Amino acid sequence: MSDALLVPYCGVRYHLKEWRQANLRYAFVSVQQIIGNLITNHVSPQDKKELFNLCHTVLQNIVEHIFGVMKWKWRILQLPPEYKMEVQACIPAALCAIHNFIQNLHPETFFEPEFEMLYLAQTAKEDNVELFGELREGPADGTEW
Amino acid sequence: MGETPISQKITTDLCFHYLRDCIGAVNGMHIQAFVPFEEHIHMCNQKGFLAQNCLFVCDLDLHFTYSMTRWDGATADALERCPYS
Repeated sequence: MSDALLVPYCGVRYHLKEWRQANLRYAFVSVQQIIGNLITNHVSPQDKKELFNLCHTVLQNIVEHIFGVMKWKWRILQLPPEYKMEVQACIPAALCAIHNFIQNLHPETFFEPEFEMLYLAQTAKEDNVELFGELREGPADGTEW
Repeated sequence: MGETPISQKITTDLCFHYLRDCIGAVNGMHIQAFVPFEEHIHMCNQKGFLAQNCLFVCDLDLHFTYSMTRWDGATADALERCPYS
């Protein structure tokens, strides 16, 4: 398609949910963690393709997250506005600009605790889109390099 | 010189070492649209509602960096993302 676009490996699983439970987002993990995952029967990435797909999905979730925020925050995206098509085409771009503006000035607006909870509940109900939660927390406890 | 800055999340996290040149994530979204009756056949998407197909790119700090709107709802995503279309 394009050499500037990184796509995940085709035909290789990426079970983000299970791997998140196993805390195996990193290539190097401690022995205790591996034993713990064996006991709890969590699946871990088996080869480099699966690990790449896992990292790819974690990053791809950012854009899914931001779409969820947009659709939740601005209801005009959920109901069709009765404007001309040229005006309607400008609305999403304008909302993106406003989003960036708010994000620069007062980023807490999009991360209120109650908003996060509502967003989580809605997303979990709608489909099985994995949520963006790991990146802001940093490495999990017990991870060693 | 004129290079897009790479997010701190990528550069500081060893997990993403092999994705270290990544500047953002791209995805499409169907946004509900109101169109006259003649255009319904173009704007009806696979989910069954009238929509415009939009493409967005955001960087990894939750800022939008690119947006492309006003594609027919019936357009395939791959066609929209193809640079030569």
